[in-house]
Amino acid sequence: MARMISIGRVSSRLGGVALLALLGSATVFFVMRAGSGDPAIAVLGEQATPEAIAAFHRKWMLDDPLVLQFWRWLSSAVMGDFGLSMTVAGGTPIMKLIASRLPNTLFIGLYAVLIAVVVSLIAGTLSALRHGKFTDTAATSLAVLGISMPDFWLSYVLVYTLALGLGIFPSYGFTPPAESIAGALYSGFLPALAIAAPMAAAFTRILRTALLETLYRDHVRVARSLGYRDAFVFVHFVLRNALIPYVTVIGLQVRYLLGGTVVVERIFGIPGVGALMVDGAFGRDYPLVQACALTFLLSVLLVNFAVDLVCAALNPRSA
Amino acid sequence: MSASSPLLEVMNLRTSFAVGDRRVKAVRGVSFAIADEEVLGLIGESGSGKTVTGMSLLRLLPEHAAVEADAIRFRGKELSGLGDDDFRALRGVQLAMIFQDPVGSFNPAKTIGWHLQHAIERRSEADAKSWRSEAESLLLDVGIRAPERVLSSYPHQLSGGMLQRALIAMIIALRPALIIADEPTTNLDNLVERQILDLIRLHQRRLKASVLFVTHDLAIAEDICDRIAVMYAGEIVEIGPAEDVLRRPKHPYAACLLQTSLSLEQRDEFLFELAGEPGGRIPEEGCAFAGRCPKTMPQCRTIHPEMRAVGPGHQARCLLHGD
Repeated sequence: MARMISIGRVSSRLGGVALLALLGSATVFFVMRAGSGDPAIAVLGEQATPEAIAAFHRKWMLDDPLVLQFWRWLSSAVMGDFGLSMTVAGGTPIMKLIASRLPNTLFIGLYAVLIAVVVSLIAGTLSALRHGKFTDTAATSLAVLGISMPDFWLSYVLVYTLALGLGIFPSYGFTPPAESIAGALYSGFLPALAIAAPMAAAFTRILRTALLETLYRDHVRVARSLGYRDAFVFVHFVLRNALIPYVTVIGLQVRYLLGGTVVVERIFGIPGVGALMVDGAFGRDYPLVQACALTFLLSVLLVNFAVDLVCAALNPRSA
Repeated sequence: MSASSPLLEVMNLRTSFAVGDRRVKAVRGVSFAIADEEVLGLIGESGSGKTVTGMSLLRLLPEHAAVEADAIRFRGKELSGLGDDDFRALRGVQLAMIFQDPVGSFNPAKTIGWHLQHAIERRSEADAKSWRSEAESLLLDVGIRAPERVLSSYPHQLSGGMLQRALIAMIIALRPALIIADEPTTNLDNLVERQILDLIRLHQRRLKASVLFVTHDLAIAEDICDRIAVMYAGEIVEIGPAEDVLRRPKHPYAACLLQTSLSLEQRDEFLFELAGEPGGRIPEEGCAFAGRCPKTMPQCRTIHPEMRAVGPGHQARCLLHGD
């Protein structure tokens, strides 16, 4: 692909990413503080003496004006320092916690996207090519089912049938990819599948629609009139032009990964950022939640940014 | 192949579409032949079945279309029984088509060079380097002066006329024996239309190809066609040498078409207008044109006329002629 995406456009998009990250962080910060509960009580317990609570507040500077606290957090976060956790092992650096858990979350997320893409490419193609026939009806019905199933419910159904019932997959626990990729693929299959199901359904539907729209376009008929092979016509004339809406939807769906990993990591006991954030929220561990939220936010924004670049590369008109 | 055998011979072609529970008949028993290096014009109003006839011959219609024929012989060989794969092998290199909308004819995601490269490779497995020089000379052949720039352009960066030239270059690369040109200039402005028509005629002669030229424009048909077939409501109602059909039409419908066209050319204050609309419900029996015909006779409503000779190589489907 000889076309270049202009530097100006890339930098303005990156500026947008930074601005959204700032706004998102501020929202999380102030909403957390607005909520009830005191981290001192969450950490020290209900029986804590007023002196102990006051000491805790002093230590974490919780009585300073909120804006000052936010500024303090922001200025170190920009330098890559998320501070210490209030709850985990008496003040572990949050960066270290996230660094150890992010690979697990990314692994499950990418695994889920991969499953969804493979399933939807097959199902969407079959369904478009057998439009109106049994295969199409079956795939479309399954897609509706997939979209309607909540991930937590599907997780339990998968555990109940494939893990507890048939004993094919483990019902709990996760081998990190750092230890063994094969182990991670095996132990991560059910959680990835639980997240992938609704995404696969959404991807299948958009691919089917986009393919059907493209299949009857003139340039496809022209390609056939020139005597090109069916597979060649499908890949280069049909699928190639259906990819833009498809990739766009993949980008949009990435934000659902966020909710998905939070729930599924808890159910399957995966030490990921999602589970870390939930633990942090229960312990009113402000800096920890703040850092996890920013991690998710940045991942989603960066993925959307990458999707925009891919779409621009796919569509010659946008250059 | 004997010298007298036509390049393409179509007998009783019938094409219908499933619409809900009904079948709509778009082509109702069309028969014609095209000789080597001949240009046969297929003229008629929109909806008369011209385009569907062309698409049926190339098997380009969607699945809900049913195409039947007593015979479709190409170089004396029956095509109807041919499997999809064998038929595909004929497309492009033997039977090719130029379409109405040049902009829509190209894959928007690929450059003109990509399109030409694959057309050249379809004809012969040219090696990776030689296609470029061949593509450039093809583009020069169709009157494109800056071939390098056009090769690296995307379809949306070029004009309709330029794209139609590029499509013709692709067809020339494939060297087909029969080109079906489906209103190839309808979407172009007058000046470009002339140039494209000249180009088609030039390359038809160079390639020694035959052309089935679909158009609703009688002036164009007169310019480019050796013979003309007039279609009405899915049937050929008159066929013969271009001059005979256009100067001395025998079928009232052909006569009306001509009068409309002349009226436009002479900028008459009152345009001659043919009453009614085509494409409505076709009567079960009798002549399809009876309802709009200025010369209807009572028997026209009951008897379906057969094709009858009205001159040398000239036939019409009307009860006014023949016995």
